[in-house]
Amino acid sequence: MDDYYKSLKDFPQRIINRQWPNLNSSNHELTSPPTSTYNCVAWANGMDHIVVDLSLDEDGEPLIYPDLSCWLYIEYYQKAGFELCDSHIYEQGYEKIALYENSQQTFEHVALQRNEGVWLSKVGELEDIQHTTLEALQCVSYYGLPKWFMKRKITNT
Amino acid sequence: MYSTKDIESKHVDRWGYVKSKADYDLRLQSHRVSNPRIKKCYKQSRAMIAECSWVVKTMPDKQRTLSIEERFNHLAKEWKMETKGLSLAASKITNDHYLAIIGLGVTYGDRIVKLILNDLSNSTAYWHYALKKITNQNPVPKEFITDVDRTRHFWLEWATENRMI
Repeated sequence: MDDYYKSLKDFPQRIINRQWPNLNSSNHELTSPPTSTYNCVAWANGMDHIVVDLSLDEDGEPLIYPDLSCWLYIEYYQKAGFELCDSHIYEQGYEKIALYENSQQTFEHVALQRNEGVWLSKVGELEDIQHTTLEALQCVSYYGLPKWFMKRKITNT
Repeated sequence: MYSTKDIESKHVDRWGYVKSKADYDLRLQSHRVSNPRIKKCYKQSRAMIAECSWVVKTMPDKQRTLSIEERFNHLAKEWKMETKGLSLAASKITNDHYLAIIGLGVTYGDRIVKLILNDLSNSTAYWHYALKKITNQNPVPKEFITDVDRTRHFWLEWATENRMI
């Protein structure tokens, strides 16, 4: 059996409506081919060659809240030089990330902002997308809502 | 230990699972109880309990006539559709359809393992957890358990060694 739904374009509209109800052709565009080489966590930290997944314990069993809260990922990004901030509004010279928390209070997704009005996301095992607002990907029962924001100074190196 | 005679007389499958409804229920129950995330999910939703305790009694009449392969394909398709957009392994393996596939695997043993391995040879889906639960084997070193490509590689190697594909 081959993989179904290799690309966001393959998803039937009913699934898009259920998982990303705010996503439409006018508020996003695909910016890479689909891949499972990296995930949103690594991608938001500038890495496109590894998967960063803290959601399993050392025996490979899935973590639950409170162990799998956004704080686990906030600590990860703090180690990478990000600091918590109050808002998602663009600040020149900084890159910002928004961490999505779902209805079970667990971390589910992170989006990256490097330029004004443009958010970048790696959508699971699918493509990278560029979306105009954080609301484009929010859904209480899927990614959840963007609840935590962090920023890091952009360096030229 | 089960004897060869037991296996030949099909009282147990090759993984040592006794093929009785009572044993299946016990195993599924212990899988649920031992996993806190799943336990929490079950507590939160009686509907989910019904779906995951599963097997035939909760299926719509139409699906009761489906073959094992058709049931597996249906569940795998739904699982992939619902989790392709997710990044974390924990979210993928606690999906209802994935748990149902583990339930099928506990019941039907290597028939389901072969279907999963066949899927794995053509896709990059995260089958590590289901294979581990169904076969009680784990060929993947701890440091690679969240790496889809590497878990795939180790399981396909295991499958070749065990003549499963």
